[in-house]
Parts: sequence; structure tokens; C-alpha cells
Amino acid sequence: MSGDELLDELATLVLQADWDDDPILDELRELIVRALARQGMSENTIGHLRDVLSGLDASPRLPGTLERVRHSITTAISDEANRDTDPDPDPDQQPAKPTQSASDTPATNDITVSVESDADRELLGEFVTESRDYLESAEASMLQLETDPSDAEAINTIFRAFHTIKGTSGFLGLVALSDLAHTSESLLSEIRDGSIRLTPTRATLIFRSIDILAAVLEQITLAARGEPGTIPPGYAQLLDELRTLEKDGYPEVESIAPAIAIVADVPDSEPVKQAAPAATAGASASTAEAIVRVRTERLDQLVDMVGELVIAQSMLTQDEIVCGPGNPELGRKVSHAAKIVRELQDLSMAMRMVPLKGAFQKVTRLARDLAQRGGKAVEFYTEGEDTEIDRNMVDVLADPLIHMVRNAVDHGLEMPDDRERAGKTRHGTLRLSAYHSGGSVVVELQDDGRGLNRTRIIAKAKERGLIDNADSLSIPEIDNLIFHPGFSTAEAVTELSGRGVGMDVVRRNVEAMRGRIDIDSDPGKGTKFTIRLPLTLAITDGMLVSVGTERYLVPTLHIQSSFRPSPSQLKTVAGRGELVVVRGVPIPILRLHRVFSIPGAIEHASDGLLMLVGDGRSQTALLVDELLGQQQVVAKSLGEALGRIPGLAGGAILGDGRVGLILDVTELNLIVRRSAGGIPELASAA
Amino acid sequence: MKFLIVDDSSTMRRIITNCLQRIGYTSTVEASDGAQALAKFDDSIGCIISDWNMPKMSGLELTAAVRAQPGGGRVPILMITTRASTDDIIAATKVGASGYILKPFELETFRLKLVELIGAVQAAA
Repeated sequence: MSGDELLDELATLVLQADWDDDPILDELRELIVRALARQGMSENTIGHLRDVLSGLDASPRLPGTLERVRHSITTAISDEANRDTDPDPDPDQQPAKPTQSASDTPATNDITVSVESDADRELLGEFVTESRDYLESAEASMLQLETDPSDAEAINTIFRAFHTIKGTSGFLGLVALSDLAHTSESLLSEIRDGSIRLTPTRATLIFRSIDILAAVLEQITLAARGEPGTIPPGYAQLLDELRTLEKDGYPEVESIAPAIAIVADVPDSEPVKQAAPAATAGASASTAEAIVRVRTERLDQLVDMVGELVIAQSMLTQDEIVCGPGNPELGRKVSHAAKIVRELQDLSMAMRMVPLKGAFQKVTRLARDLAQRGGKAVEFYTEGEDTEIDRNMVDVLADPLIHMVRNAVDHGLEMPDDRERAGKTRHGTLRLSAYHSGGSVVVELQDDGRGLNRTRIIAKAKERGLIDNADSLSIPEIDNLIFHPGFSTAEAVTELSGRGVGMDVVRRNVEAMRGRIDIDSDPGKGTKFTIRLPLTLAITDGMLVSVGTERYLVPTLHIQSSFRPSPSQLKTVAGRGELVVVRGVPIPILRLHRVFSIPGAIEHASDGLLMLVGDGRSQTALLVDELLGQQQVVAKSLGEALGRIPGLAGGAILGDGRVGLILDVTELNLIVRRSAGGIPELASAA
Repeated sequence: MKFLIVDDSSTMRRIITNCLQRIGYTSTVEASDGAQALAKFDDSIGCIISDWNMPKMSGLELTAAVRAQPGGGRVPILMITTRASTDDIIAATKVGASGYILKPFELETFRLKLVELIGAVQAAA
């Protein structure tokens, strides 16, 4: 019998127990003894089971014993289910399965929702959506309140969120929700009235309430669809903790300052703490605007179709008959249509753009939790959280952000004492900012921690066999070793950062969005990561180049410059192939016509053009015949028949209706380094 | 009779609308806070049903503001609240609330309360 099943059976037995029935008590006692003998139970669970056992032995018939035993076992079950799981509750790891006899008792793990009509379903859906919004604004306000405990509007927003959820869930018969909201509200009302202070421990309790309420909402959604909904792990324990605190009159147990200060949207680098207007806006604002919810697939289809329309329109515009001298009237009509199509394109793209706020809020919360657990003091600044990005990219960006913030708090920032010894402020500073620059979105994360330890990076890279020696490596190349799969310099593996995923995931996600990531680290002073992303994945901005008879599109984001080299810049070095020296830096030359076997292309670098492409990690000079101009295209995969071709990211219909191929700059960098030899292969071949 | 429903939660507004429909009232106007309610309040409103705790302007403040308006003296104002202390009830009565009802409530309780409030106004008229 597994641990869960055993605990299930215990719960069922307790629920069925007629307390005068000694044989059941004996069976219960025996089961608990067996549970205790099992390996792998958590300390907490064992503790709770011991409590049950001693309760049974001491006074099986005292009033209240049943209640205590029932409670201990419920807690033990939720403890056990909660153990080893992510902070985010995992719906697959639910506690005890509900049993028939348990379905109508307080200790049950069922969430039942009565949905009798479509109107009910609609009402419930609205309730869940609205409650989520309330919880989101409560979380933002909590982060704000921790920075400025006197912020009355923040505490009111949080209070109102819990209050409203409690009130409404009561109508809908959602007991699990109204119970927890009610108990948390009691704590909040004490804080609001100034009777008690918001200590970090109390703040954590409120954050946990927000998380668990959100998890209960998830389960309610499941239950409304007719799937089994269960009380999320940790629910019983939290409710119990809150109730105990309430009973004891919220005893004061600590008086330390919060581990993190959150400052949203600072206008410039001056660290003046100010209220985040967004955080206090509350959920009520949403009722002022009429909002239509649209399925994302439908939106994606629209954007794709508009992308095709743009291409079709530009084919029409370039058509000989339209451009020709004989049809000025037709030309005017076509250009009028083109203008409308461009506006339609902007509009459809705008529909899919969402602010980065949600992703920022998530990591702000994470930074707070990490700082508190790691005993670090952190000031977290966010800037430009209203910067918008294609909604399809927000989720892909969320993971890298989480890893980077986790790394920064866990490894980048030093402990307060160490910082003081190094002559820094005791609190570390993390600055997360986003802004639009040209046609791309830039997201930066900067810390004022210890910076990258390059000696250790080199040692680790050698140990892992990634490099033989570091002599030929530039500083950016050394720094970029941390993006290599499996590379991790963390000495202490902490609960939250030691998950076996490293910066390679960050780079992979960023590159999957056709973006790039750069590091800028100053030992002892801090590290800055810069992520550059295209505004959208729907349309690729590129420079069209010709190579012999072929044409290729190079994504603009990767292009640094193009120039015609002078013969004195060109060198051939044994073992490293042909190089071009740009401002003293030797950069390998890649002849595109050789990679793709194109006849008739320019052979000598000094006859053609060199296009510098790449990122902080490595640069390559692509030899092309000519630059044909900028173009926007809708990128397509090459299809099943062709599969993956090294060096190519995809294809697209060009403005004149012909097919052009989009270069994969990251992979070309890899190819040139492989063929040249001697230069370490820094990119993952994935 | 037209009802003005004031609550920052759209779910609560919908619940109240449903309750009203089930006892035969279909004409409603909604507002998500006191300030919005005040803007929507005019002669056509026969009864206000308001939440207590709302952003910007609370139900209490709204009641006081409505009472101060021309024509706002007699309109029945029903407060919906989870508060139940004597102090709260006194506070609500002082600013001019006509009655209050605790949530969650049963439909029948709601109906009886409305009959009481609207009946009182109609008797006085």
C-alpha cells in the first residue's frame, strides 16, 4: 500500500468511525503504526500521525478527540501531498482521493460545484475570472505593501479582494473558498486596523492564501466541467495555521524588516520609492471598459491571415501591370489598398500585444520569496512593465526571467554581511526593465552582486570538457560559457535554484523566439543580462541579400554592420581559416555560397560585401554579393519534405512572389567555428 | 420599477440581477462603485441595492451622497453586507440606509426585505 493509499484509508476510517466502536480504534491504531513504519514519510506527517496515536491512546472518548484526530490526519495527508512538489500546486498530485462516505463531511477533499444550467455555468465562469483578477491585484498590492506598510490603498485593495471573494463564494456554495478567504480576511483586518504589523511571516501567510485560493479556483473550474475537483495540497495546513493564529490573538514573534523592497516603474535610475499606480488600480477598473474575450487560436489565425494579406498585397504592388506607366488609376487604387492593409496589420498585431506586467509580477514575487528564504536583503526595481509584447512570447519569456531572477538572487547577490565587508550596501539591488528599441523589445536584468567569477567558469568548463584551455577565449566568450547546456557554477544548490536547469534553457528559449541574450559582467560590481526580442513572431524583419543566383533573408536583429573590406583587413591564419580584422578584433569569414553550394557567386571577400552577424558570444562575417534591401516576411517552416537544413531557419514568400530562405545566424556561427577548428564550439547544437 | 445595483464585483451584480429577475423585476442599471452609481442615479431609479465595501466610494458614502441630492431623500437604499455589528447598523441607519441584508442571503429573505422597503415607500406616497 502506498503512502497516499494508507493515508486515504486512515481518513476514511476516521470519517466512518463510531467513536464507541473499539475495534475501529484498534484498526486505526494499527494502521497508524504501519504508516509510521513506512520509509519516506515527511517529518511533518510523522509528527501528525504520532499526535493521532497519542490522542487515541490517552483519551479515546474525550469530547473533541474525534475532531482532533480527524484534523491531524487531514493535515498529514495534505502535508504528504504537498511534499516535494513545486510551489505551484500540481493538479496531478492531489491528496487523498475522495471516498463515498467522505463526500459530505468537513474533512472531505472533494470540491463540489452545483451547475444546473448554462446560466449557472456562466455565472461561475465569471466568478472565477473575476476572483483571479482580484487575487492578482491582491498579490501586486501585497508586494507594494511590504515596501511601504503605510500604504492604506494597498491594504484596502487586498482586504477587498478577500472580502469580495468570501462574500460571493458564499452565494455559490463554494465553502472551501469562503472558509479560507474568511480566515485570511480576519488577519488582514487586524493589519488594516493597525492592531498588528505586517511582519514577513504574516506577509508569507497572506501570499500563501493568495496562492491556495488561486489553486482552489483551478479546482472549481475542473469541478464545473464535471471533472473531479479536490482541495489543493497545503489548504488544510494553511487554514489551520491561520485559525490557530486568530485564536491566539496573532502573537508577535518577530520584528525584522522585510527581506525585499519592491519599487515599480521608477522614472529614472534614482531609487526613490514610490507607489506603483498599476498595483493599486484594483480590479474595478475592468468594468469601465467593455472587453470581449476571444479564443487565442482565432486571434492567431487572424494574425497569420493578415500576414499573408500583407505579402499578397506587396506582390500586387510590385506587379508589372500595376507599376507600369499605362495604369496610373490602377496604381492609385492599389496603393490605397496597401495603406489599409498596413493599418490592418498594425491593428491585428496590437490585438495580440500584452504588457509584460504579469511576467514581471511573477518574478517580483519569486525574488521576494527567494530573498526571504536565502536570508538576503533585496531591493527590486521594475521599470517599463507596461511594455507590450506578442502574447505568444510572454509565456516563452516567463521561464528565462524566472531562471535569471533566481540566479541573480541566489548566486549573484551576496549575503548582507559579505556585502558590507566588500564596502557595499547591505541590501542588494535588482533592476528589471523593459523597453522598446527600434523594432525590438529589450528586457534587462541587472544586479549589483559579485559578478561572474571567470576563473571558476574556466575551471568548470575544463572540468566538464567544454574547453581545453582558455587562452584563445575573449571575455565575452568566457562569460557565454555559462549558457552551455548543463553548465552550473553554483556551489550551494538551494531549494529553489538547484533544479538542474541552467542558463542554457534561458538561451534556448530566447533563441526560440528569434531573440538574443548578452551578458555584461563586472567582477565585484554586478552582472547585466540583456535580452533582445523581435516584437512579434508573426513577421520577421530582415535584410535581403543576394548570393550568386540565390537570395537570402538575414534577420535584422542579428545584423551588426555591413561593409566592403579593404585588402589590409583580410588575413589568413593557420588553423583558424580566413579572418577579417574589425577594429582590432579578428572575425572569421563564412562564404555563404560554399555552405549552400551556389555557383556564380563572388569568391573574394574584397569583391563582395561582408555582413557582421552574431551576438555577444560570437561574431561571423558573412560574404554576400549584394544587399537588396529590407523586407518584412511571414516566416514558414521548410516543411516535412525538406526537414531541418543546417543554417536555415525557414522560408518565406518574398515581395515579388518568389520564395526566399531565412538564415539561421546562430547556427551559421556554429558552422564557421566547427570548420575553422581551434575555436571552441560555444553554441548548443540543439 | 428600475433598480440601481452597486457592487465592485461583477459576479455579485449578476447574482443580484438574477435574484431580482426571479421575483419579477427586470429593469436594472449597474455601477461598479459609489462614484459611478452617483453618476447613474436619477429620477428613474426606484431602489438602490448597494454593497458596503467598495473602492473609491463606499456604500455608506454613497448613501449619504444620494440623500443629499435633490430627489434622493426617499429612494429606498438596501445595503448588502457581511458586516453585522451593532455599530455598523447604527452607522448605516445614520447616513440614511433604508435597510440592510447580510450575504449570503436566501432568495426569500431578499424578496421579503424588498417588499418591506418598497412597500414602505409606496405607502408613504
